[in-house]
Amino acid sequence: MSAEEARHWRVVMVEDNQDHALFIRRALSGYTIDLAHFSDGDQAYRHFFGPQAGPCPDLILLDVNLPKRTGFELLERLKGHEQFRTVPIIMLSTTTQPSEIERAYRLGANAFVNKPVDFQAFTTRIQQIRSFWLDATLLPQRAA
Amino acid sequence: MESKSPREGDLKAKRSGAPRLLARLPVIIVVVGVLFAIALWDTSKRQKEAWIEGRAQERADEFARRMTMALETAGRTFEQAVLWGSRSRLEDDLAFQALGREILALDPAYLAVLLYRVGEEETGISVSSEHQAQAAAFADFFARSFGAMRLRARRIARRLAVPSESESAFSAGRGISTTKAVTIGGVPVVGLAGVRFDASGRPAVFGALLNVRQVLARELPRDADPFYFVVSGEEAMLYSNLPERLPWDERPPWRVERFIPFEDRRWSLEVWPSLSARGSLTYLDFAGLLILASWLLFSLSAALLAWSIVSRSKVLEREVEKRTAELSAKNKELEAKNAEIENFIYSISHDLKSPIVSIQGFASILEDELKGKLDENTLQYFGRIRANTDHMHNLIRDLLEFSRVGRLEDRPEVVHLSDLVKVVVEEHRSLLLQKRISVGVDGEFPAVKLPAKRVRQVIDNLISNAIKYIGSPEQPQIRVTATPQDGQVELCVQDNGLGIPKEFHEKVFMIFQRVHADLGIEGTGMGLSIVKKIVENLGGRIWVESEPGKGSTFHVLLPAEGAPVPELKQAA
Repeated sequence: MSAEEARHWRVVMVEDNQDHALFIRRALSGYTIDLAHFSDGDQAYRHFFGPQAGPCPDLILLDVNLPKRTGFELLERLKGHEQFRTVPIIMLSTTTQPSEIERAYRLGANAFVNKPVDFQAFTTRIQQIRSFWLDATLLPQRAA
Repeated sequence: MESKSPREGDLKAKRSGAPRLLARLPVIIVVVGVLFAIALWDTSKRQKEAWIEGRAQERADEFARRMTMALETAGRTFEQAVLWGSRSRLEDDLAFQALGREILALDPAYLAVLLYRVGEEETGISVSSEHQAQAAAFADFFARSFGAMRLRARRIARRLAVPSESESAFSAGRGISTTKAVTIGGVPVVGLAGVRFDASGRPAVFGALLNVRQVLARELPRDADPFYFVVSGEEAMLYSNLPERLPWDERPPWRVERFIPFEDRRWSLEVWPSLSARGSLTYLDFAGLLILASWLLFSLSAALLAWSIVSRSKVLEREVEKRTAELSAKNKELEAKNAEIENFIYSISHDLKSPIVSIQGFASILEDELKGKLDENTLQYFGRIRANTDHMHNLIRDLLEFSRVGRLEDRPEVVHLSDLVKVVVEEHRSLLLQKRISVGVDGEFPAVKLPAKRVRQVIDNLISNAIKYIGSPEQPQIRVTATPQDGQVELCVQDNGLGIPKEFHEKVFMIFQRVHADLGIEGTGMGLSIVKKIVENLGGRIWVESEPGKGSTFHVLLPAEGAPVPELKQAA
């Protein structure tokens, strides 16, 4: 086992739909992942930029439609911030609105992923994200 | 949106230049026309007045001179006659002096008779030449036929409609004869005055003249309009119907302010005297009036024309402005509506899809966790949950698509129809193989300039439908053909499947209408509605020919080139 595989990943999930959050968590279970969940934009914002900011994550799964602060707002702030600029951010959405997709990439999203209706497909997709961003790609080292 | 404002600016800039001058054109034309007319009228009036005045003065002077001379002579002669009683000398003198063109004559009985041309005509004796002979002839005439003269005078009076009492006054020795309007040689003559008196009675002469004046003043209507003339000889001597214009003024020489030369009758008719309140004469020239009127008419019509052009262009301009504003407002409204609908649909699809994801998820998790503990029926129920949520998802997807067709910008691009057909057929390869359907593609597929995505959607939908409703014929077949025709292309997708009853030929394109719903074939009932909307949005037409059991042929008529897409903002 290499050093990367043994690495303890920190993933932040911002998802207001508790069901979807549960599915994502379920899809990522069984991996050495420290998954932090925030159910609205404000909570997530406080986590990243508040006085008691958590450690820098390795991957952020960001729902587009969020209460209080939209996914786009968060995305813009994160990508505009020195510390989080290099963190891959995956936008998750139930819709495939072209304007939304364009906006996400313009604001610096690393990927825009549609949540499939089919549960199996949903699970597979989350696992694909995990495997691509946490296994296949090399991410910058984070301070502990 | 930003691209529109420069165009509006252009419009405003163009409006300010030439049309402003055009707008003033009517005023300019009217002013010029009126000035011209005034100048013309004034000039012609002044010229005419000057001419008349000149002639009038000339004639008046001449007349006055002669009359003065005649009366002076007469006066002198009367004086002499009274003093010396030398009648024969008096006769000679008077006859010689007086026989001017004014026709002052003495009779052998020393009666002075004032006659006019009428009298001259009546007697047949010209008084314009050879005074001596004429005077002698006159004297002879009067001597021979004093009685006849009376007769003639009566005849003259009759001819001139002189009242009989005038005649008696005439013959009584201090006769004055007047008459009202008669026409001699086309000229109205209203007064014929004759004075007869004894030359030896000097006071009687003046008394008679005074009498004539008074009678004329009384008989001729004052303030009458039209003006009355009394004509003497070739010269149109004017006896005014106003007392101050009478030739018999208080003091000689008499002044004739205005008179119309007889020989220039045209003028006398054209110059129409009218009386102002103060009695002065104003001349209005008919020719001048005509010119003035025509000028005014011309000016007026030109002004009207110019005004109508200007006002029309103004009206048009205003209309264009109004329409532009309306259009721009409508456009904005439309954009806002578009954005609103887009947002609405977005949130609906998002909000509806999320629970579907959840239902699907939990059903799957339950199914997964209870695996091995469930009987066949329960497993089937899970299957039904999944099928229904799938259907619901498809419905949402299709509704979304239906609402987007034609509302969102679809850019036309050059595409080869045959390529699109090939791709679509390839995508359905496994299903086609599975159902043993043979696909034939033939005809002439042109390149078209249309939104590729939409055209592909049409082809895809028609081919999927053909596959879906192929039923179970012996040799299932799908045939795709194309025929270019006059800037259009007719695309046909033919199958030998289940076919569609006639009553559904129209309905099949309506939303949520499904012909074979009872066969348990998957579908939302929106596919053909979306296709129809796409085709009609591209300016085309779609129809079906079909018979149950014999298959269907869907015809799509598309323009080879789509209309340019209006710039519509997509919802943010």
